[in-house]
Amino acid sequence: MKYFLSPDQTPKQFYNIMADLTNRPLPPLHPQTKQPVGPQDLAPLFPMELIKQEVSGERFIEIPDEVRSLYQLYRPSPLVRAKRLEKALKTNAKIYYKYEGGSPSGSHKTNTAIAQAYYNKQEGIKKIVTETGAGQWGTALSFACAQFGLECEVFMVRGSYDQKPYRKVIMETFGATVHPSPSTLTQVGKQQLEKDPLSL
Amino acid sequence: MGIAISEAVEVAVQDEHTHYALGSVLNHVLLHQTVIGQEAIRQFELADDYPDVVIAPLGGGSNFAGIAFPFIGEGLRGGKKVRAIAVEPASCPKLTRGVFGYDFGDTAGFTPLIPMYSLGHDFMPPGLHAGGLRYHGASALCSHLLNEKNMEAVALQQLECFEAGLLFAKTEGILPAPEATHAIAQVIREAAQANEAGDNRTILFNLCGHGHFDLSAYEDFVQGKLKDHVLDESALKKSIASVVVI
Repeated sequence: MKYFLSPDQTPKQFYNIMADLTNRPLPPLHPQTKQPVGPQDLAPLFPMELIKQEVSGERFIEIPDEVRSLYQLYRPSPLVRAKRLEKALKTNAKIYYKYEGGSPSGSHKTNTAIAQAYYNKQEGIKKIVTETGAGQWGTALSFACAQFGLECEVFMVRGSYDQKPYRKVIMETFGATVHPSPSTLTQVGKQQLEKDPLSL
Repeated sequence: MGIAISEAVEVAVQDEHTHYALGSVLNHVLLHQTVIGQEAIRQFELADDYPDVVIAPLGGGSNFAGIAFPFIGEGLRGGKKVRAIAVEPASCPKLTRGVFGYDFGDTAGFTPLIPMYSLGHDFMPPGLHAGGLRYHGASALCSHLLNEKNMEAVALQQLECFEAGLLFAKTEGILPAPEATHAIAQVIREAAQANEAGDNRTILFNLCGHGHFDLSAYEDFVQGKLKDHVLDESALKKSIASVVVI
């Protein structure tokens, strides 16, 4: 049993749980000064719209039309009643799942990748650098960057890089550059390799 | 994982036209994923049902937030309350065995100090196949919700999860990502509890991705090459000591 929504029922807003919390989480602190981080501390890394979202107390934040239209390539995702699993488990419990594997990257990561690439593009950014563990996030961001004409560079955890070579291929198919991490391209990577040469 | 983040940040800060992006943990990432749960709420109206329990794996927190936050939010605003359960691997158990405090998001200490449940930014998890769940900390929002008792957490071993993944593939026809198998294993436990209690509770979980790139992990599992992980307790104690407990 599947429950579908039509593409025009794709959400028009993101939901921000911060608005519904009585107590708010503590603020993140600057690594050196130990004072709460301000927007200027994060500006070298993130576009201002995302920094605003990071601290927003608004319950709903509008999804830009371009982002929503890319979502409609694969959203809304189906809600499925797992009747055959229920039967195998001989249970009276009703089991439903929301399936995010139909997105261009095969995971839920595409939802934020598209939004992040969009806000970076709006701010005139040319390239986004990221890390990926299993490879889902790197794949999602590679796809999203390709939609907005952004370059994408991915540092992929060495274990996954060796274990899942096709993850690298799909990221490259979307136009990204992929390095195993630790790499010799950065100071921190070189230090790690000196400390533990086996991590290469 | 922490080193890869440090490398990406190091590259990003060197060029004014280059930015960094994170795929989980931060508030804005969790925010974007809420399209999942918002859709699910409308779809449950079509099904004339509503979940009692919402389950998702937790690596950094965006998968869990995506499906669970819209439901938790309804409860916080006076609507129906769900039990929201985050499932983590027993080999990277920040929510169930970590401490709540300020810790870095990466290994090198480039990122802000985040108030979160953490195993310490130096923690090196064993080579588990659910790569997306290998992060040492949980997002500030999920950590806060756990402290406020708006969510629960459990840690499961990988053999139980792969077993659950295979059963799901055989019955429902989708090979789940190793991360998603953690949710499925907890769903199976929840269904068994429903049988014991004699109720017909409604369970929702996020099948966050397919496992088509993870066939070597499934191959190792079906050939009996995988084992459950045992954490090195002294290494864990040492890495946890770096978290500034609040």
